Amino acid sequence: MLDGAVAGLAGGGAYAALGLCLTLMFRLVRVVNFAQAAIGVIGVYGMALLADAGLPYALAAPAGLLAAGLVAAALGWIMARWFAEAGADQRSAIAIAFLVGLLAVSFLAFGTHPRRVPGPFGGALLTVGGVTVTRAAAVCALLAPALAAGAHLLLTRTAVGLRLRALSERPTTAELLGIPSRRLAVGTWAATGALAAAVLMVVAPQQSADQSSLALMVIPACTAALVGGFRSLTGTVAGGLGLGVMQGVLAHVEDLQQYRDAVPFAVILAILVWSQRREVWDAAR
Amino acid sequence: MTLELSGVAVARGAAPVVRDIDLTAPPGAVTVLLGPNGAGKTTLLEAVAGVLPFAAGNAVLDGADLAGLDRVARARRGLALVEQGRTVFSALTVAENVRVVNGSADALDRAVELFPELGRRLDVAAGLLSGGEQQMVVLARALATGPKVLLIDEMSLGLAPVIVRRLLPAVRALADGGVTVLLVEQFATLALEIADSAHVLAGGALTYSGPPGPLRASPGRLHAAYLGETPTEEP
Ligand SMILES: Nc1ncnc2c1ncn2[C@@H]1O[C@H](COP(=O)(O)OP(=O)(O)OP(=O)(O)O)[C@@H](O)[C@H]1O
Ligand SMILES: [Mg+2]
Repeated sequence: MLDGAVAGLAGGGAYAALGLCLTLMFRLVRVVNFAQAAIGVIGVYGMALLADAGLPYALAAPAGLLAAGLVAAALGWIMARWFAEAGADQRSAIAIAFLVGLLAVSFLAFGTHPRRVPGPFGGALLTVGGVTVTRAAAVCALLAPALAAGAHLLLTRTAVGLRLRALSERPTTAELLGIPSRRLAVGTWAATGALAAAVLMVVAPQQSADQSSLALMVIPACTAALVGGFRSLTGTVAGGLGLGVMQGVLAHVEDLQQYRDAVPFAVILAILVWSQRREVWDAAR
Repeated sequence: MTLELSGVAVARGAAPVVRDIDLTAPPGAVTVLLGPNGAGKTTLLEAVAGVLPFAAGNAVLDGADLAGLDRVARARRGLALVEQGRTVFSALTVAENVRVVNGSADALDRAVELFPELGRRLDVAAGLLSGGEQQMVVLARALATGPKVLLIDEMSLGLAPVIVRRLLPAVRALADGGVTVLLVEQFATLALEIADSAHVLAGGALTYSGPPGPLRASPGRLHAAYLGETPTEEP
């Protein structure tokens, strides 16, 4: 059981880190970016392709991150250029189109067969009392809180963060004050795109990583973001880690194993019903 | 910088709102734009600032056609719009509201000098301030951009007349410092006191353009313009 929980931290850390990307994207550029993980897939498979061609990992990995950042920047530019005045709902629908398009591009560019993805975080880090902690799990579990702390510092302590917060609250007013919204939005897309690729580069070597299942990691990531209400960074991290641990535990219980992948769905449903209930309650008062 | 509108029309969606606007706002002067609710004052200012597109006519800022510039570019050329309705960044503190447009300590000092009551509330979230204080933050924030042309939309809405009597001289002082001011104001009498020229917009067209004197002297003249009864008259 404990073994399962610890193993679940790896997935949970990845959900949390991707969830942070989603939360930041929603807060800063008003979109539920369903293509978030698909952008990361481009980076991971680009990296794998270069590594297969003989490039050392230390060069292939940054190249993959750069590729994901550039793809994300291009999508962000499209969004800022043509859908700047659209609401979050319409922009999120467009993100679904991006997801579908990116998967198609990815299959065309990298083929439909899952690729072996190299990674530096293989093997066990330590074994305590019969429970093994893999290095990937440790990296993932630490990555998410570190990212949350970094994002928090960026938003509260830097000039760019201040502008991003202003822009997220009142985009038109910020523009009227000369804050370059398009450049900041494209930058946000690029940064979260490269981050998503970094997260998937840690996760992908540990599992049989085909492109669609990596791209669909956006669903548990959405669940994590939903726990934080697409606002709270801490809530998103807690949601992601909690979800991963739950799945890990279920995977180790013979009778429940088959329901493992239904956990995100059940959590989403529970949160939505609960938040709805609260609204009804508020309205009743 | 001189702001010059000639034959300007603005629509919202398919509905035309203002038309045939000829108006010049020179530097160092306060140009007031009066008119009843729904006349199209906000619509006109938003078009000048780049929130809405022009449907017809020319808007020229210091020789440059505004139509080719988006709102960020217009802001960077020195155009600032103080929007209607206290548009503070409510999650940011008072100090951050100023710092977001101008990081220098100087900008914040100037804001506090102009509005001393903000000095004690610099670290308070702007959303928690009173309406009057929020309006001060919005003005201070616009000034921190170092505007050359200042468009002000209903600065006094919801404010006590005492505060308006303090804010208007501050606006006058800016103009005396060389800024081009185009002021939309509900308190017509107060606005006319600091005006160098006046326009009245009613039903989407200008019904008076000229010196403020005649409107100050005769409330009947102002009312007639509000009702659209006086034909346009050149100064
Ligand atoms: N967002 C909008 N969408 C569609 N029509 C609008 C919108 N805002 C204003 N209008 C219409 O445009 C016309 C002019 O409105 P505008 O806000 O420019 O008037 P105003 O002179 O600023 O009035 P007020 O003194 O009340 O601020 C009105 O008829 C109004 O119904
Ligand atoms: Mg108005």
